[in-house]
Amino acid sequence: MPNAIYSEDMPEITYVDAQMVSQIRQTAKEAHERGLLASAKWALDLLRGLTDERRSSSMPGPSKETPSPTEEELREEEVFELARLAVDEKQHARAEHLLKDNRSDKAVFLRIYCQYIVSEKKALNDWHAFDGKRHQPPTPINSSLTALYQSVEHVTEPWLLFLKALFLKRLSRDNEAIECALLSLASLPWNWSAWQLLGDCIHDPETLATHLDNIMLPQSHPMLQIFMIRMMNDMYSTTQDELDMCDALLGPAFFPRSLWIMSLRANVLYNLHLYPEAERQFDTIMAMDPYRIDDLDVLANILYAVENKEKLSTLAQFFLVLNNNRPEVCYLLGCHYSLRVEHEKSAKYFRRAIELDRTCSAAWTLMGIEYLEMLNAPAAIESFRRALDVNPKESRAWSGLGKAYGTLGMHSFALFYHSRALRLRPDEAECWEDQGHAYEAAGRIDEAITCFKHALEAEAPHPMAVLLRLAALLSTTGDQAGAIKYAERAVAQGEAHAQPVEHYAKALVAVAEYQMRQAAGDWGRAREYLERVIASPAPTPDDPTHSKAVDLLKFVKTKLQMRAASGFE
Amino acid sequence: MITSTPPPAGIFAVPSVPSLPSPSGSRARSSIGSSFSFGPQQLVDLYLDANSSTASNPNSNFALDPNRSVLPASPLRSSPRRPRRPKDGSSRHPHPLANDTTTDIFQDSDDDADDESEYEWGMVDRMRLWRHDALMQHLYDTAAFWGDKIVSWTNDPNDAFWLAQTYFMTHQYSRAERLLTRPFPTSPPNRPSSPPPPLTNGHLSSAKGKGRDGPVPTAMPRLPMGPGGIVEVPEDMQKGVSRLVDMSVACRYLAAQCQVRQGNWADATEMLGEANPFRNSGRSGPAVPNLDGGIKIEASMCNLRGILMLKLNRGDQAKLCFMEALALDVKCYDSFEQLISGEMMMPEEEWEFVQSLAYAQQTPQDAEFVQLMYTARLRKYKHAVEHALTRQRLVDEYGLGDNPDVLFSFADALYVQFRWADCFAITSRILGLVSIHNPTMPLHIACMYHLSHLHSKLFILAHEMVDREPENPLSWYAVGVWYLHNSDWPAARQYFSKTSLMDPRFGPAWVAFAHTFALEGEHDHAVTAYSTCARMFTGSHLPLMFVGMENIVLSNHMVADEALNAANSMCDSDPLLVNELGVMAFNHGQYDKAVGLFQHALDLAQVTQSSQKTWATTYLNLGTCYRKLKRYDEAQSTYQKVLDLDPRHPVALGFMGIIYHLTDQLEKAILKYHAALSVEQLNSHIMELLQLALEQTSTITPKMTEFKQIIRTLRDKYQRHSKRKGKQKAPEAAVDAGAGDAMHIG
Repeated sequence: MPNAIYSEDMPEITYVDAQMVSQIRQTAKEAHERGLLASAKWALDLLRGLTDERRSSSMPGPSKETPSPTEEELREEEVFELARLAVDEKQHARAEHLLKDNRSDKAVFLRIYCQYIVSEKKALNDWHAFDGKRHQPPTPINSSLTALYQSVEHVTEPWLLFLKALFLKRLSRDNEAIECALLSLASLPWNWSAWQLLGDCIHDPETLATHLDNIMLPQSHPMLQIFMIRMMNDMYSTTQDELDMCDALLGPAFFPRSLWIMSLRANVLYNLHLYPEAERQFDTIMAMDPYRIDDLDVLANILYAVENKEKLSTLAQFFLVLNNNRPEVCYLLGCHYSLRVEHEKSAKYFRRAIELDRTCSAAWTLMGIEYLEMLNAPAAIESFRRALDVNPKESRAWSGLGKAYGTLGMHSFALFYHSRALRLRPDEAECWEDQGHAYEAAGRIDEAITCFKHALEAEAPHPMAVLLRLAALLSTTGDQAGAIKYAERAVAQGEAHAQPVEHYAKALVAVAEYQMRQAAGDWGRAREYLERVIASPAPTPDDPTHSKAVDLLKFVKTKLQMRAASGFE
Repeated sequence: MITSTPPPAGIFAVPSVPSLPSPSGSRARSSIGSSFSFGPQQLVDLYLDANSSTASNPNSNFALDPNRSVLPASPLRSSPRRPRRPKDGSSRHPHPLANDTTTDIFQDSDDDADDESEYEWGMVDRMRLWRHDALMQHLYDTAAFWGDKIVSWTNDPNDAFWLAQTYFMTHQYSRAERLLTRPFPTSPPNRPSSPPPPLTNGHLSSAKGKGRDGPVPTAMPRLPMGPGGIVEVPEDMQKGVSRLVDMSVACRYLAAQCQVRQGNWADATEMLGEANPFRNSGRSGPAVPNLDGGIKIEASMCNLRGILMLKLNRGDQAKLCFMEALALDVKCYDSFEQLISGEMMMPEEEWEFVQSLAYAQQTPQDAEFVQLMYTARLRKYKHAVEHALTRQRLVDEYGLGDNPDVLFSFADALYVQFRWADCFAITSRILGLVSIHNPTMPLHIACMYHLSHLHSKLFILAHEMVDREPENPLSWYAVGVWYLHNSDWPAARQYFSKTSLMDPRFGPAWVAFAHTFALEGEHDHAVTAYSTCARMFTGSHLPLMFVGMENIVLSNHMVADEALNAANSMCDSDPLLVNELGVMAFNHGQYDKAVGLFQHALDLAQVTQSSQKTWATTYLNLGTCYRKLKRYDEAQSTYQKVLDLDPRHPVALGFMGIIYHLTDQLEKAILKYHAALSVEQLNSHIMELLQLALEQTSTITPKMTEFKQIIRTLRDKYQRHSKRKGKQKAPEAAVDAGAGDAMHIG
């Protein structure tokens, strides 16, 4: 496919032209021939997402752009077809053998790809042989990757380049993999698998920025837009802009009926915490294609976030009957049980999702969280680590690791992991809070205070706890004035939101005590606060705050009486 | 071909052995009574004597000529079925290769080859024919039966030789020996005339050949032999009596063979002499060609002497004997095989020796071919270009591309480069051609050991071999290797020692035996075992190198240095050894030197794609040296090479972490340490380093602003378009009004 047509000075692409449509069509066909199901499925979804006019504007027919099959391809056609059927029947080893003498590019691709799948399967089987034993390595080890890579080391054909990039990624040579994927994408811009691979290789915005400049596509190319949205989703940096981009892509000029882009949009909404809208987006998708299992995990996340147990269990019921061998369904079930606080079951389903798709980092993470709930820190750490192996951009896993190490009392580890999480989500107050707690546990109060302040700036969802913590920490450092400032903020917060008094009893007592200590203390206020504390129901019979308040109140009362007496005199 | 080789340093000279007894000229030569020794000196004296006296007729003392073979006496040659073309009567010196006038080892053909047509076969002649044919058809009892009758009639030494040969083939060694050493009534130089006319082997002899079938020749009584092998010959008969071993070199050789087979080392030594008795006779030596186209019997005797020396545990002498045998006759492959597969010579030494053999003098026509074949078999640490050329020529010029021995040479070259998969392909091909090929088997088995996916095949191979060839030590070696791979050390050891018992000169079994100790962590035992190997296989540097390696593990640096330097003096071009030397240099803190050595090792190894994994350790070592020299960039790229080969190499990951740690890239360091720990979970060093790195890094308060900044710029760049798109949406929508699709739901 010629890539020269995309030059830098191309006018902005404002709609999908006929050429693009035929390119997508071609890509879908070629991907399907090569057994790249996800890629083919994705391209077909885009095609279907087009409006009817656009689609019919370039109906297949004997298109000029479709390269006529080469002589080799014609000669090997029957064998290739047979091999293709073998792949469909999941007889990969047989397909590989059938193709062993074929020389056309697509046959070579299919053969090496089958080889890869066979070796992966073998690695998995070998790994399962160690199930339940101490010597089991953390992940299956595919030892033939190097050999596979060497067999495609010098290829130039775009599909084979994609394969090479895949092997490079598996060999943890990410930079080379990115270069290779970019080369492949230059000729095959509609191969979503390659974009996905590219995204998996990019772990931070710096790399993203450098490599995006190297993409041989105009910046307004829809693929680039889609990729950007996906990356922003992955890095939890979505804003309203991404939503606009999604809307543009779903506009009539592009792919108004693409379910995939709709679910992408739902994901953006989810990351923007606009849960009801995200849910509605999914309702649309379900209305159009009720049996679509792809991206069900996003829906599960959304429902989990709004704690919509009923809908989640309905969905779980429905899809469990439909197909319980899909990782997305298992993930959904895991979320379902997690909401119902059935941690063992939930962990079981997450594990099942992982067994079906080892690259599902969200399932690893949630499983780790379930283990954390079950107070099984080592297992949790293991799960989080696997999640990060798959996707180092998973901030929940980083902070999960931090928490797990925190419970094990390994504070320097905890600090490191929290800071990793924080790096991914610098505007997430929870991360700052966690970091603050970690610093506090490590005995580094000053840093802890800074972190808690950051948390407040980032609009912590539960500011009361942060404020109380800050007040307590500042008072231990001797900064009474600062401490009281936060205590007062806590009181103000509590009064503003009409929270029950026991939530901010400590702050009340602290303020009262401070007022008492001051030379010109407001004793009346102190008394009022203390009375409020005592009036509130004590959480435990001998709550220290409560008893302290009682003591202080006695003192205040006597002092006030004394003062009143002296006033009379 | 081997144009780039320095010219041979000269024809291998047989060193003189000072202990050689001087020929005693005073001794009465042909009588038993006066001989005090069974040693070969008498024979030599006789030969020299005969030479000087009958110089005009060289044919007359061929039986004593060590430069001849037994070829003329071979059954085929002496078979009367061959029509004998009358030769040019005047020629008394037939062409050595067309030597069909001389048909017996005694060469007592004072009788001229006359008209055969006149000759009619007698009873003895017919029986000789029976004997030979029976031998060819492996009917040994038949041969012995009729042969015995012939000897009784004729008392011909030649017939006696053949009878002894028959006994030998049926493993009746003592019987053959007895026959060869008993007093025999004739002595070739002065043949008694009284007994009935001895008929020569199936032919000729104008004088006696006309013996009709009529009266059976009267048998001469066999001379008795006393107890303990002492010859008791009546006084009156002593004059005309000798022993076969004193009359012919071939008989002496056969007798010695019998004694060796019976394990009579001392007797055999005496029979053969401590050293080559013909050495200083002036009529032997590498330059003297063998005239009849066979293999010099002198060389065979030297070879047998070498075997004897091995049995007597005199390895150095054995090596000299084999070298002498090969020098005397380059065709004597047995000696070559002993020298090479027994690793008796050092790599450079064997190269020099084999290149300097007297090919041209001994086999003028085939000199080049023989030299090529031998060269192809040598060890391949050096002279890679010459070796490649040699193989190329053997394939191209001699058409031996599918010959197991030539293929073996290819396989060996690949194995030296650690290209196991390629090597295995070739060894499999060889074993497809022949069911068993002894030099190939160790390579084949080793490849199967190294290539993990072949382990089950190794199991099958070992089983098949044990079934088919239980007598072959290689079968048990294969079993041992299989157990070795399964880490079942005691069983492996058991089978390796069985192999060594069956063939004490089989090096791989000894080394593997030592490996079992090394792998089990019994380093002291391993050192002992390797040292034994080093003693037995004096030409191989490997055992010494292994001793060095074990001592490195044991931190005996002095001893290790000694062993490695000794190994290096034997072979300075083995990359593995150079790597070990580098390790020692590293241990002594000479990092620059170590860098040089490791790089040299990698150069020597000619690392190719298929052998890269093997050299990962050397790359690691190199990287660590760079690290010690604070050349971090080079160290990093070297470690990266290892990680490219094996992304899950725990040591390389850890070292990479250290590099990052040292260059203050703590984030990356921590990630690498984690990666290392995820492969190797309980590495306490890495854990400690990780802890250290974490403590250092957490002193830095996280700075998050840059992340946001980057995201913001990125977004600006790409959102510009979408925003503009938003603006352009209106006209766009107008155009597409018909297709209007309000699918995007907010």
